[in-house]
Amino acid sequence: MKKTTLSIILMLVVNLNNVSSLESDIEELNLNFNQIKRLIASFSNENLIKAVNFATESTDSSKSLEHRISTKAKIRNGTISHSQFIESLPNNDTKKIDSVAQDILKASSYLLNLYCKTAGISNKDCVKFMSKYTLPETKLGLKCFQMRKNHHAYGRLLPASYQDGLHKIRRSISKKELPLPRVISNSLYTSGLNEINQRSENKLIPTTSEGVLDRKLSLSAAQWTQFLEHDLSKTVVRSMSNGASIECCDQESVSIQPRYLHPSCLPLVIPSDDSHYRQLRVTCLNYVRSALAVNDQCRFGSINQLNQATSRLDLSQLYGIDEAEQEKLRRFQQGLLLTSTDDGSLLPNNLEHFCSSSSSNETSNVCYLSGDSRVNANPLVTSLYTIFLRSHNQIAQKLRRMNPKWNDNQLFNVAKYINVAIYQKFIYNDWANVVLGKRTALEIRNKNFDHDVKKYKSDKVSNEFGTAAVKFYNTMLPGDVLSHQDDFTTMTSQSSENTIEARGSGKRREILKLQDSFYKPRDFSKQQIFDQLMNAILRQNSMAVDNSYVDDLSLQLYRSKMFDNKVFGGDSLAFDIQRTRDHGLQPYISYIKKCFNIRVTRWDDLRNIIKEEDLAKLRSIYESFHDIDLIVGGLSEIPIENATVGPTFSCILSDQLINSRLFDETFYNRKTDDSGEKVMKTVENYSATRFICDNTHLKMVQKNIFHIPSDENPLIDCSDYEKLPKLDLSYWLVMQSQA
Amino acid sequence: MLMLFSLLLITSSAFINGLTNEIDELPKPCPSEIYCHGRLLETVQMARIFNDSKTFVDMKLKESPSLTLKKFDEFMAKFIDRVPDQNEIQLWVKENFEPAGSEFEDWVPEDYSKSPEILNKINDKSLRSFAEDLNKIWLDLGRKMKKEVADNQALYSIIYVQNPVIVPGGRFREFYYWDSYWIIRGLLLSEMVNTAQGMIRNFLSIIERFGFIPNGGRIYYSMRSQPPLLAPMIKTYFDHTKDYQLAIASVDILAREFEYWMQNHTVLVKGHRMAKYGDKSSGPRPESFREDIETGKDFPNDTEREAHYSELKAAAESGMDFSSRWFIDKNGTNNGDLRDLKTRSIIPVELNAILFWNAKIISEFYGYANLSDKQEEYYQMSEKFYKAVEEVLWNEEAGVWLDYDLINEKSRNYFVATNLSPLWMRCYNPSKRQYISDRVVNYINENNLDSFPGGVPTTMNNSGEQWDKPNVWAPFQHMLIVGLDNLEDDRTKKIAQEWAQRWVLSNYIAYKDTGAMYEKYLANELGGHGGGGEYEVQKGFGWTNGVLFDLFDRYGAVLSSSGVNLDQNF
Repeated sequence: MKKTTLSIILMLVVNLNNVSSLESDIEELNLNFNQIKRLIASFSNENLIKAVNFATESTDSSKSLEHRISTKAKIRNGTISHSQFIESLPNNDTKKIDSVAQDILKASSYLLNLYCKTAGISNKDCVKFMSKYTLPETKLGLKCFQMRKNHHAYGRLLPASYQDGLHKIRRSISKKELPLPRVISNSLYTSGLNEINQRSENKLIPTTSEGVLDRKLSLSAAQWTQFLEHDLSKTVVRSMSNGASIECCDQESVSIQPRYLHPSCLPLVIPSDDSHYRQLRVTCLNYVRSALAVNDQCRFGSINQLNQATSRLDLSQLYGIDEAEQEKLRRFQQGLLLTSTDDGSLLPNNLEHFCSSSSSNETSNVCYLSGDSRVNANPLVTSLYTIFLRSHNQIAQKLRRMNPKWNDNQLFNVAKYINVAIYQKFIYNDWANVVLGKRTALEIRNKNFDHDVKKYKSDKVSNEFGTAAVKFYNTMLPGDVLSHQDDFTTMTSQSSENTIEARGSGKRREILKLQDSFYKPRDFSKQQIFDQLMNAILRQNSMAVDNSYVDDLSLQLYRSKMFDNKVFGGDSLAFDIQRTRDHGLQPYISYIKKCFNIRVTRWDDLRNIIKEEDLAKLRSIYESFHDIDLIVGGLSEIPIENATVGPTFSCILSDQLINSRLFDETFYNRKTDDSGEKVMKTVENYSATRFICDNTHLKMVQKNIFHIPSDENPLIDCSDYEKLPKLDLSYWLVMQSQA
Repeated sequence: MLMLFSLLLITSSAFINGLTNEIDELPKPCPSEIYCHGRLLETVQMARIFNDSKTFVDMKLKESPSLTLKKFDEFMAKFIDRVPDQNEIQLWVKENFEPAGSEFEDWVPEDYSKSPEILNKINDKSLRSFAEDLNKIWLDLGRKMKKEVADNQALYSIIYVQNPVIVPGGRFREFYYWDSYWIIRGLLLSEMVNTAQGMIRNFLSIIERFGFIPNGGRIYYSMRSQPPLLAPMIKTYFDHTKDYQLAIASVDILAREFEYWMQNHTVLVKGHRMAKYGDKSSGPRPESFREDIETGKDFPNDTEREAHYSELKAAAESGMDFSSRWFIDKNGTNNGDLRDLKTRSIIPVELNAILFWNAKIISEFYGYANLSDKQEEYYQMSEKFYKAVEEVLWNEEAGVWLDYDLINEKSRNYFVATNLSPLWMRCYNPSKRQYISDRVVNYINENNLDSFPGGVPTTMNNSGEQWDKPNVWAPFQHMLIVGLDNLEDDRTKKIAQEWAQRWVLSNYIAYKDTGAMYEKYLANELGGHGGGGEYEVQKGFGWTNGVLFDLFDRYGAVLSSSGVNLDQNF
C-alpha cells in the first residue's frame, strides 16, 4: 500500500487539516489497507458519539460506587495520606478538567476495545489513529473546548508509554509486571548502606551515619531546587466526582477490600517480607493516580497529566497561579504581600489547611499560607518562601519611599516584577552553574528563540522534568539539619579527605529532624530559629546526588501516627517511581536515545555513565535494561564533572530552563522595552549572597551560596557593600514632574 | 388480630424474648470449635494476620482440636493486662498449624490427554494453541487428598472425598459445587472422562453423607449449598458417555438432593411453591469472619446482626456473593449496600429454572430405570416449576423473567444476567419460542447488552461488589450464549455467536497479556480482568477454562483470534 493513497483516503474521510503531520504519522502506522478502511468506518461520527455516551454513562454509574465507598476510601486527617494529599492538592478548576479528561479517556478506551482489539489492530496503532479524531459535538466535546486553553498540561519529551497505549502502566519488556517500586527503593537502600559502611571505613569519601556527603554542595542547592520545582511543576491527584479525597489502603495500611478500591487507585504494594515494613505489618501505601489534562485539540487518545503550575519562572508558588489566587495573598496596601506579623517578615497563617493536622509537642501551631500548598513541605523550603516574601515586601517599601504617590497596584506590580527578576537571575546563573555546570548554564542563557524555535517548541513544563529530573534534590536532603557555631569559622571540608562529624558529636546540635518536619512547620516568629536554620542550610554539606536517600525520606516521608498508634512514614523514591509509571514516562534508555542519540543495546552500554557498582545494583533489580525507570537510571548516573546531576537529568533540566525562558515574553532579560531595561539594570550586580544578607539577620554569607564556605568560597561580611552591591532600585525613581 | 400480631413480630422482633432465643438455637456453621466458631477462631481472625481470612481456616492442625484449644487457653492466660499483638498471635498460629493446602499430594490425572480431539475443531491457529495451553492448566488445578486426611478428619477443615478433583484455583483450593458444572463440561471435552466421573461420584457420596452438597469442600461451608447443578452435571456426562448405569445409579440420590431443596428452600408465592436461597446457621462466615464482623457492626442489636449474617450466607449460597441483585433498600430498590442484603426475600429466576431442570433430568433418569411412577412424578414437578417461573417470574411488561421481591411483593425490574437464564435450560413453553425470541431481542437492545466491549455485565449497578457491573463472569456468558442459541432464532443465534467470539477473544487477550486465566473479567474492556468484592481477583480458573472448551466445541470452526468475525455495525 502506497503512502500517498493512504493519505488521500484519510484526508477525505477523517477530515484533517494538517496534512504534513499526517503523512509522517502514516509511515509509522503498521496497518494494511483493509484495517485502515475498517477503522475509518468504525470511527464514524455516530460511533464516536456512542463512545462518548458510553463514557459519560459509565461515569454516572461510578458515582454510585463512589457514594458507597466514600467513608472507607476517604483520607483521614493526620495520616501519611493526608500529607501526601496536601502535597498534591487539586483546586476546583483542575478537578473539573480532570473529570472531563477522564471521560475522554473512557471514550478512547471504548474505541480501542470495541473497534481495534476486535480487528487485530495493535494498541499503539489504534491510539495513534484515534488521536487524529476530535471529540464529536456532544456535551463532553463542548466542555472540553471551553476549558482546553485555560489550563496547564505537562508536555512530553517523548510520547507516553502505556501498556494499552492509553493509560495502563507499562510492563517489563518480558510482559511481566515491573519490579515493585518499594522493592527497587529498598534494594538500593540496602546495598547503599553496605557501600557506605565499606567506604567510611576506608575514609575515601566524606560520610555521616546518614550516608555519603557531597564534598562541596550546601543544602541551599537542594532547597532552591525544591523551590524551583514548586514554581514549575505541580502534579495533583484525582478526586471523587464530589471532590472528596481518595484513600487506596485500608486504615491498617494493608490492602483495602477490592469493593472499596477506587478506580483511580494505584497503591504501592509492600511485600510482606520487606525489611522495614514487615515489623509494622504494613503492606500498602496510598497512591492515587494523577489528575489528567485535556489536550489542546480535544482529541481522543493517550492520557496526559495536568500541571497545576505555570511553565514560566514567575514565583507562582509565592504569588499564586492566577489573579484570583494572588488576590488572596495580597494585603492591598502599599504593594505588600500578606504576612502574619506587622514587620512583614513572615508568611501568613492559614489555619492548618496546608499542614498535617496531627500536631505533636515538637511542632508549633503555625501553618503557613502561600501560593502553593507545598509551602510547608519542609522547613527548608518554607524558609525560602519566607525569604522571597520578605524580599517582595522590602522592595515594595523601598519603592514607596522613593515614589510616595504610587498606589498599591503600582507598588505591588513593580515589586513583583523585580522580585521575579532576582529569582530568575539566580536560577539561570548561580543555580544552573552549580547544578548543570557553567558551560551548559551559559548555553541555556544564550539560547536564541529564533534559532531554536523548531527544536524547542514546547511552552509547557515537561512531564519528565516534573516527575523525574527535578526530584534529584530529594537525594541531597539530610535527615538532620545541624546548628553551627556562631563565630562562623569554616570548619568543614576544606580538604576533601575530611570526614564530617557524625551527628550527636556534641558541638553541633540538630535544629530539625526532617522526619518530624513534613507539613509540620516551625514557628519562624522566633527569630533565632529562622536565622539558625538559614545559616545551617548555607553551611551544611548536602548529601551526595545518587540513588540513596536518608531514612527520613525512604522510610519516614510524611511520618505520622497511624492506626493503632504505630508511627511510620512512606518511601519518597517508591512514590516517585510509581509516579513516573503512572505518568507514562518512557524507560530510562529511551531518554539516552533522545538526548544523545545513543541506542543502548546491552547492559554494558551503560558502563560509561553509571558506576560499576550502581550498574550491578540495577542488574539485580531489573530483568532487562529496557525496564529501568527514568528516575532510577537518572539518579544512578555519574554526575557530570563540575555539575551536580548526570547527563540525562542535565538534558531534561536544560530543556526545561530553555523552554521556560524562551516562551516567557516577560523574562527579565528578554524584554526590550523601558521596564525591561530597568529591571535588568536593577538586578545586574545583585548577588544571591546579598539577597540572603538582605532578608536574614546573618552577618556573613559565602560567595556562592550553593557551595559550603571554603577557601575557594569565602564568607563575605554582609556589611561589605563593595563586594556585595545592593539591589539598585534607583531606576524606578520617578521624577516629581512625571509622577 | 393475627395480622396485627405478625406485624408486631416483624417490626419489634428485637423485643420479643422468644425470638432471640430461637436465634441462639441455630446451629453454628459447623460444630468445629476451631474452624467454625469459638474464641480461637475469633482471636486469630480478628488479629488479621493473613491478608485473606480464608487462609487461616484452611490450615491443618498439628495436634488434636482439644489439645490445640487447651494450648490456646494457656497461651491467652499469659496475657493478664493486655491482649496478644498480631506478631504474637501469628507466632502461635505458626507453632500450632500447618500452612493452608497441606491436605493435598501431587497428582497427575491418569486420563490426561495432551492432544484431545477438541483441538482439531479449532480453525484459528492462535486459538488452537491457546486451547492447548488451557488443556495443560487442568494439571495445575488437579487436587488429590492425602490418605491421612481420611484418617484424621479432625485435623483438617477439608471435607474428605475419595476421588481427585479439579478446583477453581487461587484461594479456591477445594472443590466448589456449581463451578464443577462448567469444569466437568471442559474436562469431558478434554477427554478426562474418569476425572469428571470421579468428581460426580464424590458429589453423590457427599449427598449420602450430608443430605445435600455444601457450597464447597470445607466443613465451614457445610450449612449452605450452591445452585444445584449436580443433575445437569450428570446429564452432561450422560450425554457425553451414554453411561446409563451411572444415570440410573445416581437418580435416587439426585431425588434426595431435590427433596432437600424442596424441604428447606421453598415458599408459597401466588399459589406456587418456589425456591429461594437461604441459611439456617448462626454467626459470621468463618472464612470471611472479620469482614462479616465489620459489616455486622452497623446493626443496632444481635438479632439484626444475626439476620444480616444469614443474608450474607444466603447470598453466598446463591454463588453470587455479593451483588446488588440481593439488595432491597428501604425504598424497595437495589441502591443499597451490603447492609441491605435481603437474599432470603427474593425469588431468584435461575434457581427455579434450575430446579425445573433438575426435575426434568431426574424424570428422564427414572425413565431409564423403568420407574415410570417416579418418572411421571418428577415430570409433573418440572411442569410445576415451569408454570411458576412463567406465572410469577415472567414479566410481560419488561419482556423478560425478573426476580420477585417478597417484601414489597413486586417484580425487581433490574437487569441481571440471570433474567435470561430460563433460555439456558429451555424453561419456557416451546410453542411461544417465536414470541419469546422477539421479546428477548428487544430486551437485549433496550438494555444495550451488546454495547460492552468485554461481554455482558452481571448487572448494571456499579456497586463495588464482584457480581455487579463492570464484572463479567464465564458461567453467565455461557448461560447467555447457550440460551440464545437454544432459541433457534436467526437473530438470537447471531448474537450468541458474536458474544461467544467476544468472550473468547477477551479471555485470549488477557491470557496473552498476562499469561493467566481469571475468575472474572471486565465488561468495558476486551481482555481486562475483574475486581471488586471482598478478595483479590483469582487466577486459574476452573469455570473460565471449562466454558472456553464448551465454546470451542460449539464455535471452533468460526472463532478468530483477531476477532475479524465480529460485526460491528458497519
